[in-house]
Amino acid sequence: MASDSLPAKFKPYTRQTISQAPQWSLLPEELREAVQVVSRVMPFRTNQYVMDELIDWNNVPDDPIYRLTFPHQDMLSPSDYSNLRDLVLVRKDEAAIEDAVRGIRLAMNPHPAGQMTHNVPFMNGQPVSGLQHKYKETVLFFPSAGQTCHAYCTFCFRWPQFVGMDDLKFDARESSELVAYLKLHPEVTDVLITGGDPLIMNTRSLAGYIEPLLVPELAHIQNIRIGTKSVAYWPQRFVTDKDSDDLLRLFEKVVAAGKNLAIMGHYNHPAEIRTPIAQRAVKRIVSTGATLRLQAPLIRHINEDPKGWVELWTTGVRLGAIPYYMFVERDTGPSHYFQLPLARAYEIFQSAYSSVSGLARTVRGPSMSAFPGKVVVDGIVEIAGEKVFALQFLQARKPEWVRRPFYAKFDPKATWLNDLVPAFGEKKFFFETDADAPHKSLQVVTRHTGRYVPGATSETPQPLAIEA
Amino acid sequence: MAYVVTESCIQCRYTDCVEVCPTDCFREGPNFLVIDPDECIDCGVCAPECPVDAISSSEEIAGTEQHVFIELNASLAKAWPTITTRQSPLPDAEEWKDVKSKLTHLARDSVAG
Repeated sequence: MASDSLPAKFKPYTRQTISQAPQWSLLPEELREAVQVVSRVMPFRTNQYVMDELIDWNNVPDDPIYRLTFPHQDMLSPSDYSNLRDLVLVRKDEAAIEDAVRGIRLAMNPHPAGQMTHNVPFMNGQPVSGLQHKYKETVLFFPSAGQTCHAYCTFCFRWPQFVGMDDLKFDARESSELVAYLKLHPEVTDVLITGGDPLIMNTRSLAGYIEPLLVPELAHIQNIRIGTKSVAYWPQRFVTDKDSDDLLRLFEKVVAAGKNLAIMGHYNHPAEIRTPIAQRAVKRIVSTGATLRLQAPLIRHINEDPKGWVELWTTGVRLGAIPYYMFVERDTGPSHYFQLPLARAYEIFQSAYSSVSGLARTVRGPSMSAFPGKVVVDGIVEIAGEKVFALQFLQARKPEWVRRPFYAKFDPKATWLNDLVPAFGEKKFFFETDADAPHKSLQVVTRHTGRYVPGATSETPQPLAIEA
Repeated sequence: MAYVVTESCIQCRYTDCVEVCPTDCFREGPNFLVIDPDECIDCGVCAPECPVDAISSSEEIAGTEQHVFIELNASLAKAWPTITTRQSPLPDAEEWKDVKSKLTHLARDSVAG
């Protein structure tokens, strides 16, 4: 359904307002019901551009961008769905709904990979809110005003940011603590501003967070990254928004200050980069001297076809962008619905990678952002008669683990690192301690140095129990 | 759906809310603030900032006595200028913050430029 003109002003549709969208009446009752019920648990948001330009309404619900933005009944377990459906549509008991919803959410592994337990940095003995510092070189910053998006992805691993549970939300009102923390940490070279989507903010608000990073005392910060899906969900941000030109001038200012500005552009499917306005957005970003890097998770029902990745990476490179990552979908939220086996992820990656220009082979994957670090599946091989996954760390909590190969027994059903067991009769992977389990007792150095560093100075670390 | 500034703000006007707004949708009057519903993107970041809990989503107040503020925010937003920087609360904010039924005290003139 092509429109003659694009929506010019961003206005979100939420659960309360989606019935106002022209396309709502095209949806069969059971799909509308699924949206109303599941959006009580998982965040739901979309906009007119996504609905007009990216979704093929003749192909719903299988259309990939429909699956990407509209919740599906199977995202909840059958019993959770039918129970919640009854509460929402029949009994309409708000208190009971809130209870049920909270229970479902807490069982969905919010903020996986130790984000709340191990990634929160400390300064003067206090946790710094709105920051994460997992890898030595890179600090993550979650500005309060950026903790929403132009549309929400159904699979989003940061879903707890959007569900009104304040105890699960990472955010910082302003950047003074970030600046103070960065001054204390000369080993940090990269700041990633993320959310949500920082480009939901107007340029004035965004500049308020970015400009303090350009001071001489922060010369050790080489790269400012902005994680965003506005490039796909609202490319008008860079082209026709009232302050688009101001935004591009801000990008130029960062570059002129001597830093690299990397826009980490999240495109899940080539449909998102096919529209003329999306392509114009890429060119305008790149023309400021900023880099645009492409990254996305591999998601069942949405982008399982290697040809889609080939088109995405090839188009991106042609327009001046740099393919960066194909991630494995994290083990959180409705991951049972979106997960693929690691073996399949590897096949898809290999097939796409082997079909693109060398210039697109900057992309790494399939990579799991797991508790100890970013683990990539390099291959499936047979060594001395044993079929194994060949793995390595692209990035890790401990720098000396990076690029160290290791091997796991091949398992066609494994979907995440914690499904894997070591190959060759080894008892544990090199990065695991004897007390390995989801809740570890580990030597904690965090409170003194600021960042959590797994203690490995002795074979049997003195356990200082932390509530993980 | 948009968020709405309601009665508690009148005569207090703390302005803690304005700095977190990512789309500059607050408008200022002499003793009250409003949110422009055309600019509001429902991010919800402003509501917890208000020391007197004056901000609610329009969905929350529909059907309550505060619902009149939905229309008030929409109409006053057209006449009032944008505010993006926090200011001091009004001098008698402390006295007024727990007062109910302040609507009659709402000053609707545009703030002098």
